Amino acid sequence: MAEGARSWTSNVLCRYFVHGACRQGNSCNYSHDWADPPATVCRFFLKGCCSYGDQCRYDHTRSTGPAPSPPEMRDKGKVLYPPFLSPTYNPHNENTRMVKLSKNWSPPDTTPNTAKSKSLPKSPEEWVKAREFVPGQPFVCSTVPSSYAKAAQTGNEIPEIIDKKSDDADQDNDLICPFHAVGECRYGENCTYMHGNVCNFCNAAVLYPDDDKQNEKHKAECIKSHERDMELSFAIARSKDKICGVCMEDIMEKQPPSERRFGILSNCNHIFCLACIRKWRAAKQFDSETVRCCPECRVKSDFITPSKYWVDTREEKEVVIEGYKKALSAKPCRYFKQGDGECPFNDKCFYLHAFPDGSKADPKPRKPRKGTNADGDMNILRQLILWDFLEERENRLQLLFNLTDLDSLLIDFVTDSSDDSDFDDYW
Amino acid sequence: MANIAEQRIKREFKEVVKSEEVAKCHIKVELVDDSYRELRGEIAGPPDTPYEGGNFLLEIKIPETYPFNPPKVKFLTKIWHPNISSVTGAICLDILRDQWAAAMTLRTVLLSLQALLSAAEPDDPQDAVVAKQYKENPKIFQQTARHWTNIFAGGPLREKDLESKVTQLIGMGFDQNKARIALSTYNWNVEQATEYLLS
Repeated sequence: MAEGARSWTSNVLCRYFVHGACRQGNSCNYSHDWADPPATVCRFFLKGCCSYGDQCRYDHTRSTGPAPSPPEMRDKGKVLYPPFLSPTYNPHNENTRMVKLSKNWSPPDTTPNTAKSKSLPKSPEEWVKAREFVPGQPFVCSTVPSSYAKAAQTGNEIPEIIDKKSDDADQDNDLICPFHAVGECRYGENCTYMHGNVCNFCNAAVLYPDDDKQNEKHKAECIKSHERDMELSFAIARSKDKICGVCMEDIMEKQPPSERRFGILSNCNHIFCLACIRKWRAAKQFDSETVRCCPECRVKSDFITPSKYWVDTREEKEVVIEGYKKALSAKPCRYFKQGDGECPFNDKCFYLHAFPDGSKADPKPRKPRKGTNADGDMNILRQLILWDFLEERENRLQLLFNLTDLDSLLIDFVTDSSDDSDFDDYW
Repeated sequence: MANIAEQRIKREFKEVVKSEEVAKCHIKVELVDDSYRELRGEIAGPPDTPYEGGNFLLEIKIPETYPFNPPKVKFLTKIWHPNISSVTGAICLDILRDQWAAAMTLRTVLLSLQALLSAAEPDDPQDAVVAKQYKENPKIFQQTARHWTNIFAGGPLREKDLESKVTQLIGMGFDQNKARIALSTYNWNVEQATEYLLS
């Protein structure tokens, strides 16, 4: 049977072999002999829609010349057909519908029908109707194809693409013409694409005439983007003519443009460029309290937030600060060093404290701070956590109870039980 | 000089020149040379103080790290003030030291100095002798300050008593300035001053 299976393809050059990539090797159903003709008739040409035309690498011949019929078959005096060409082939029979064509494919048992098939011999021309073997593809055939092209079209990957393409083409007719959307379409009425209605907001003809949902959605998007644009232009207008209190330059006109950034102080509204305020806060010659204050009003701010535009109101400022904190929390902390180092800010740090495996570090209590009082005594200032305190207290009580138990036992042991009452009073 | 310092001084220059205080409060800044590194400031003595009518010259040195460090300012004109050295002209003012802020300018510094002239801080003195006099003999302090303003800063009000005492000591062969300092220090007690000058 396997021999038979091989037979009808064994004279066709394996196309994987041609590319040096046939995995089947010697057991391949197709021929690995360069002398054999390759099955290279373009299926798209046969369908009449090959877009490559003369440039196609496959043969554009409609020759339905005799496919090499296996000589050994003829010798045996009977012809074996691929299942769907078999005269008894019933496409609606589940058994025959899904047959995997593999190297050990065996045709359905057609022996009872051999007589019929003999009486109804398929002409060699019919061989062209044979479906092309595509390894690994399920062999699906719903109807007996009348032509190779049809056979190739049904349940095969390439025709699927064609189908898809044609679907796309159908959809194309529903697509908004991009030329008309932004201005004039030179095809006018004859354009294959749809000419949409003009959106009042963006002035582009992108509204589908009969799709309210799309219209609503588009308008909502338009309003949103319009709001964004307005916000941006307000931000730019707001940032204009803002003079840094330190370098006294107009921040939006600083050179190079990368310097045009504001350093937003969290607790006051004085204007500084990021470079200046950072430099001021890094100044070592002054007390750290002094440099953490605004150089204008001396209100202390714990941190500065870089911003491209100036923000006035508290709400806007909060948005900027939140965005900044969020961005920082994604960056690994350079003190924490993925667990190798120690960050002095610990859980207050804005940066990411994560181990190499991605798990986040538990916030540890800060290291005890040491302070010296006026008499020169060292005080260790430790963060007191209420839970620790309660736990410690509980443990102490536990210990106390244990001791009393022990004591009473001992006392029971050494003294007379009559003394117990006194002892209890004592306790 | 660092670029930022020079840029800023140039801008500040315009600010001081433009501002109304120049006319109203009589503060002035001039360039000494083209380097923007050293400037000459001038402030008028505030009204209702012993310094009224005087013009005080200031030496302003701009450090390379300006405005992240304060300018170095001292009085060139001799002045009798608890927070200003009567010998060197060095100023004790917090904003010129640890309370400097990068947003401060030459204008604010000069205005602060003017304010310092009208409101001395005897508890944080630069010149202990003056501060002591300011606290213990306010009247003599006023006279002395007025006298110094008249002599060194071109103030209009003359303290003839004090002048005569100075002349008296000059007549004894002492240097004029030394005599004046000695007299000022000893609350214009001629005997004590003479003793001090002879010792």
